[in-house]
Amino acid sequence: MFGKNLIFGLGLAIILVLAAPAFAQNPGFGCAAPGSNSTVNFTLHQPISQTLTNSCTVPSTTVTLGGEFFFEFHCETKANGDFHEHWTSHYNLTGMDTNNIKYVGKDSQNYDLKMDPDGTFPPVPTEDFRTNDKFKLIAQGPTPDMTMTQQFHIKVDANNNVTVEKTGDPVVKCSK
Amino acid sequence: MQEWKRAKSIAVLLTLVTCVGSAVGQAPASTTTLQNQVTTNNCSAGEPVALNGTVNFQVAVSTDPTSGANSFTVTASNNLTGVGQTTGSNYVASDSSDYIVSSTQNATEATVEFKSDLTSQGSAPSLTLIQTLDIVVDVSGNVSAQVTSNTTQCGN
Repeated sequence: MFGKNLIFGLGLAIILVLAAPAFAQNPGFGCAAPGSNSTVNFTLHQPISQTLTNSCTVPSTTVTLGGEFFFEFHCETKANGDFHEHWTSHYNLTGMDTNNIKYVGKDSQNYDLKMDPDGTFPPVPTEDFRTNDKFKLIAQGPTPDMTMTQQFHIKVDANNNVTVEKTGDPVVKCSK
Repeated sequence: MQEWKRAKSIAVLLTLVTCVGSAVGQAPASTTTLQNQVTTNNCSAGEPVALNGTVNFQVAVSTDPTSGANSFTVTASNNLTGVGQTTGSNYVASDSSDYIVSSTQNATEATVEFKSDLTSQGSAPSLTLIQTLDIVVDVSGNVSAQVTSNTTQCGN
């Protein structure tokens, strides 16, 4: 149990890497009070500036997006010793296409990963998680909306360091 | 004698084909059936929708020979019809999403949100369906998956 506490006591450092080579880093934080209900929160705002091709319109247009991805993480040590990573991806985006049509994307998606699902000791929270976040870009007027799917790669190493990478470009699907 | 040998060869071949077929063609899977499960509506322009159909979970498990880490790939796909509880409008949803966990452990447990378009077949506005999925997979390919909630949003 002492070893388990020690592992939790090493703390949880969050390092977020988005759109390499740019990356952001914070000093990290620890999961308090191992073995009891505790939650430690961490947030990161990541500005986004990118263009994408909207093939939902004829002819296709180029949409320039601005705004941010905003991630909320918390590690939670349950009373029974289970260790969970929970995070929410938020999207607060606006866009303008080459026809001056405005787009708004405001959405979120939740995940929870139990770090020691087989109950082995120590929990060894070495995990990679690849997700597909979906969020809508609502177009002004009769222009078709888009659903964007963006893959993220979340990695947790044996010292509870977490990194997040945006993988590839978003996939666009027409949704109206 | 020759006919006997030929029959024996065919029997062995058929056995091999059957074994290979079950090893390759039958990936671990789990299917959840929804029967009149009514969504919680969080869209001001939307309505609760009674869902019918299936959510299927296909799983592929592999182990990295170098790191020893197990990779669990879960593909969730739905095939649903729905009836609006206010307008009586019909809706359909058919989509899929991949979730990949690589873990040094022999099992993984994740709770994810699976989003899909709940497309109106009439004049009612289309909605975004958000299904919360609890998924447990182990290295033997045992899958336990449940749909724990169904909500609808406007999509923004």
